[in-house]
Amino acid sequence: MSTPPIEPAVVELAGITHRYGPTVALSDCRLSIAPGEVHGLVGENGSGKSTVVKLLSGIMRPTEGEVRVGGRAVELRSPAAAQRHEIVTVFQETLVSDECSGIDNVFAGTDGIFRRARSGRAERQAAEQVVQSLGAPASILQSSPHHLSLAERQVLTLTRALVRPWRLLILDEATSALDLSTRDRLFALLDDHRREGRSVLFVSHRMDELEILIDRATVQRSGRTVGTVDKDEATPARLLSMMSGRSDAGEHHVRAEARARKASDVVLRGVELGLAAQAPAFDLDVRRGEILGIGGLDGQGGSHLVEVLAGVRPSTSGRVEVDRDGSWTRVTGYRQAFRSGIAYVPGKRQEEGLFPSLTVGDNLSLATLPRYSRVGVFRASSVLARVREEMSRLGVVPHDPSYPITGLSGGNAQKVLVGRWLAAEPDVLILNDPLRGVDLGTKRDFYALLRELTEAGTTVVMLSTEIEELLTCCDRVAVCQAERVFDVLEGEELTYDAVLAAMFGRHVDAPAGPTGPAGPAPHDSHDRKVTL
Amino acid sequence: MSTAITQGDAPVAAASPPPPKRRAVRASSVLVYLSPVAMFVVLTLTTPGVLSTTGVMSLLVLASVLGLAAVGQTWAVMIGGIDLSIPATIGMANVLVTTLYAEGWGFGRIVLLVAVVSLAIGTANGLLSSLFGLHPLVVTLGMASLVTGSVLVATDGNTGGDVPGFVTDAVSPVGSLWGIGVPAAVVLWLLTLAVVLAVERRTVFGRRLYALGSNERAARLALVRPVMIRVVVYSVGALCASAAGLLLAGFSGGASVSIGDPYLFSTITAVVVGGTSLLGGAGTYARTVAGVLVTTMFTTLLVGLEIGPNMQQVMLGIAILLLITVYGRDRHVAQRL
Amino acid sequence: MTAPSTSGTTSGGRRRSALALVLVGFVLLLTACGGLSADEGGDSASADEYTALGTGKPATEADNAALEEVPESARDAYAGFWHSTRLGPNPYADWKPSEGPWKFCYSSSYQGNTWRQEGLAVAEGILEQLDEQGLVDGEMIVSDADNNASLQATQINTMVQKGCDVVLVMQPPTVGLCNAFESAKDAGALVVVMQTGTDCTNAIQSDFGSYFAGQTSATWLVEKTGGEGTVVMCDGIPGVAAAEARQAGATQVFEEAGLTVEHITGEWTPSTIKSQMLQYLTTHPDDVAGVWDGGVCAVPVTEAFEQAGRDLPYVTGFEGACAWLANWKKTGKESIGFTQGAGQGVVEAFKVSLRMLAGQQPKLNTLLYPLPEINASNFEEFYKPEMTLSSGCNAQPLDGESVPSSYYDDLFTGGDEPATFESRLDQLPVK
Repeated sequence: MSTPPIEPAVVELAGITHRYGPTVALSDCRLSIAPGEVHGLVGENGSGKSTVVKLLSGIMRPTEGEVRVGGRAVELRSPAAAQRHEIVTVFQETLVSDECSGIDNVFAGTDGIFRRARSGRAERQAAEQVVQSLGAPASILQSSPHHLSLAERQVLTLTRALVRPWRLLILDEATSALDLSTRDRLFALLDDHRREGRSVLFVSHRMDELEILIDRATVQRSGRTVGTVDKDEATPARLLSMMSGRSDAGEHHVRAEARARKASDVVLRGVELGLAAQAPAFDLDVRRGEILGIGGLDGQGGSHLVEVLAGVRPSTSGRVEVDRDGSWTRVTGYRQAFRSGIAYVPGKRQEEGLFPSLTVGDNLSLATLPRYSRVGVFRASSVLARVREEMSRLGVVPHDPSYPITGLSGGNAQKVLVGRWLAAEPDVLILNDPLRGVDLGTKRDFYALLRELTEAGTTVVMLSTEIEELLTCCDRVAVCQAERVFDVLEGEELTYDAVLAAMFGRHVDAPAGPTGPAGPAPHDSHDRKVTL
Repeated sequence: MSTAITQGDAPVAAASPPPPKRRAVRASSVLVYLSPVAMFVVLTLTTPGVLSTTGVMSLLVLASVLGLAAVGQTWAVMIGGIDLSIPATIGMANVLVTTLYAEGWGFGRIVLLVAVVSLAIGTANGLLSSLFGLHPLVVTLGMASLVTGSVLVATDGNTGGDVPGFVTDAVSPVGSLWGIGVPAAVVLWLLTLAVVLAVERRTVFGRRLYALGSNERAARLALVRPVMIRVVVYSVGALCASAAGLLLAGFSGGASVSIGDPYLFSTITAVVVGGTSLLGGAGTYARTVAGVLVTTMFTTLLVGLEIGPNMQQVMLGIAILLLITVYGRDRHVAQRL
Repeated sequence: MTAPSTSGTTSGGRRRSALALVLVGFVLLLTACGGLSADEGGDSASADEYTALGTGKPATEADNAALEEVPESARDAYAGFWHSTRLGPNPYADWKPSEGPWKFCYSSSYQGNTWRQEGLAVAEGILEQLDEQGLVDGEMIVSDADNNASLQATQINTMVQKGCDVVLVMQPPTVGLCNAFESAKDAGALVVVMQTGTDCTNAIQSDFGSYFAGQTSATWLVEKTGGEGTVVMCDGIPGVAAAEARQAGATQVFEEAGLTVEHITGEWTPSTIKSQMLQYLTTHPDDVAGVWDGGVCAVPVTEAFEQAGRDLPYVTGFEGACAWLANWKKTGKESIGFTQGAGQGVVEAFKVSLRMLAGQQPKLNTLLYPLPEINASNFEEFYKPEMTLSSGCNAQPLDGESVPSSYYDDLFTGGDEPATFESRLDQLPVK
């Protein structure tokens, strides 16, 4: 375990306990962030990470214990108060208002009602500088966030934090929406800040990021602080075992054995598909009973591809066809696709998936209600039984269909969303980045679930932005680059290096890509051969 | 296979996320449904005359007309919209019924015509606010003007007429349906209440209505057709508003296109006082019924206390603000924090 | 996914916001009370051209000076005039009428009911007759402002631009049109406001004595009740001068007689009146001695008493609706009312206009007349079997007009004999 830093901590949590009603979310939490360090905060969902972040950013106040800033006890009564203590937070969910321009989003809240904090010109220059140092075009400041990609929106929220005066920056899963190059630029930028004595509290599920970035890490488990470790001790295996309390936690990194599926037994196919006006057309076959991963850097067409396959978005050219009892049926829209046995789990949980004012049960059963209905009236008991069945299959906690969906953690909410479509018992399940920002435990459950589904004959297409994830659970991986499928990797070709290379439009015998720190991870590094 | 989440050795948090506003929501629901009772107690204490059969029936008849008019407003609000065409629809039904009956039309034919016109109004509202992405505020406002204008053109402003006797009896506090001592208007309202609540709670349509109000984009992807939901919502609203217009024809004999005017403010008041969120996705007609009863009794109380019309307005405004502060406050926003 | 905020912070916030609301409500209440008592006596009108002093404020010197010009025979109709209108000298004193034929225009604030339709129909009938005499230039321009004051101002301006010599303005709002009237006058057009008083003293106003009518029906009710018990006044729309004037007249009589007065606000809308009356009866189990009608009330009030199972007291009428006459016939309960159709108002406005076009000068800006009374002695002459409880028509004066032409002889000076016409009110349909 680490030695306490000699300098007074920038921010310190001393014996913090936080309760929501009878539930203890955080118990005797101890966390000390030294000046000029990047401090990792890791733990599975429900471990209290989010609570720590909320306490530090002034969204909630602790039930017991002290928050100290620069050695002095303070009360962070509001986000504004946190900001006065120069603590800024970037959340996982990209909270951007579509109604005003990027620049207005960046500076929202810094102005008074009648007074502008800075002149428009100075504002723009400061923001442009940050945006450009993150490798994004300055034009995203002018356009409406509506038109921006997830990664670009996240750049806006990062900029929003970085233009303010800060000595502690909290990144709460703020990197999961970023593409690799932006992420690397962000890390480089943080390095500069670290050298100037500013500190970062880095909350992430991504072991590779933690390995690259952190100086120390604090591990939370079930609301308790397990301990703080220094960089050299903070190996993925060590952190995982601290998080889970088990010694075999690193296991999930080991790839399940890919199963060979008959290349001829195709259930869904794209024929001469074009995803964008200028992009080349390609063919794609999805084999019955396989887990097909869709990878690629953000904005390179992966998301478009799954939407096209699900009928949510029309392709610019070509067609998608689904096998219906031996004959090919063209997919013309998502309703028709659903009738043909294709279910689509959308990507942005908050915007496209969940109904915040409904219960868990209603969220889960909505798409399949007609199956339990006669003349539009559903049998409540059958619906409830099915909901309970799906909830226990997915391990949704708490196991209570009448619980409000807003009360669930991200991982559990995602399970409900997947359950909505599993209840439809689809032939093909298409998932758009279902595991973004989800804790390891949930991921593990998902991998097992997907396996189980495919054993039973369901075909799964899953978009993921994390290479490790693709490697862990997919039989084959189609990597998108420049709005087309660049390569489909399977069997022995399916390696970390190969996927990473394909993301950058290269085959493995070429250099892995322009990015430095995100370079080859310790996987199958001997396996380098041309795949196409 | 059931894959439970692997938890740590100390189930302090029991992996259970914070139990959110459930208890608060429950408490506020109880308050909403208790408030008519409380209001009735206050009313009977201050004005003992209320506690008689005709007294109660008078209140219920007044409430039933408002209640019917408020069905559409409730559902429109629940899908995140609003219906400003309710007063015009009431006026339309009111004038058509009286004018056509005086011209010798059969009552059945009149009801059929009014129903068809209502469905047309509702369908137009639903289609326009879905297909062209127009805000329902604008659509229904325009529709209101269109309907009122059309009625005036069709009748040349001569809006008088006649109503069948049984319609007059239906809204008479001493009227009685099938000898059970309850005016037909009240029975009609109770039937409507039962159907509306059953639809909200037990039908696929009801669930989709909530889903649409909660998150339209997610609803589309979950196979909800927003156009269809909107068309049905505004059509049901128009049908119920027409029923209110018909009852008003019996209530006051004369007819006027502007007879529905007070029902814009009062339906919205009933919905808001009932605590249904104006952001959509939550609420129920049951809450609106509580709102209808509270506001009806409150205005009666003000008449009973002999408060002048101007001060009545002030009191009503204060009461609305207080009530919604106590239990109707929006939890939506807080949850999105 | 973010969890909801803690209950601690929101409940604190809620307490604060509740407190703030209560305070705001309290301030509003004080403001409202303050506003009610802030009715200081108005200063005398100082504007040279016209006054726009609110109706309901005490009579000023200018008002009283104008009243001096009213002959004794017409004084009754001017009782309590300040509740509904402002008096002043003839604003058209310097105006020279052009030679006929004249262009007549009709600007109505609203046309969406039977009463308004009758007014327009009568105006068109009169115009036809004048046309036969060669006095009319072209078609009459008619406009409907849908109760929008600024729209009506625009419509009047347009009419003047189109060459209207006479603009008859049906029930405009009491405020907001003074400038439109002024520019019409400057352009040489005669503006005659019908069936309402206004705050503008720069137009000719033709109206009946509202205050006097209220007094008349109230006096009858005092006699019938023997001056004891509670009377319920069924008021019109708060703040509308015509409603306030009748109520003021009735209130004065009831107070003098020592009756207890209570109010409901029916807003001249049958459904509202009935709701209010039912709510009143529900909350007041004691006997009601009588109900005074400020307009439209008689029939819905009777229904409310019947349906609440209460004995029907004496209920006055007001505007002489056919439905009220049918109701009287049905219940057999004696009542009192007036003929106050829009048509007869239009007839009086035409009489005034034609006198002025003939060069006669009114002695003051406002010409008030008494309404014909309907009572037990002449009931059978007004009642017709076609009248039902749902009739939309109004009883018409037996003589075809509210007052004989000679009524105006003492109110005008100079000029020639005006053109004449038949009112033909008896030809209006009874339905």
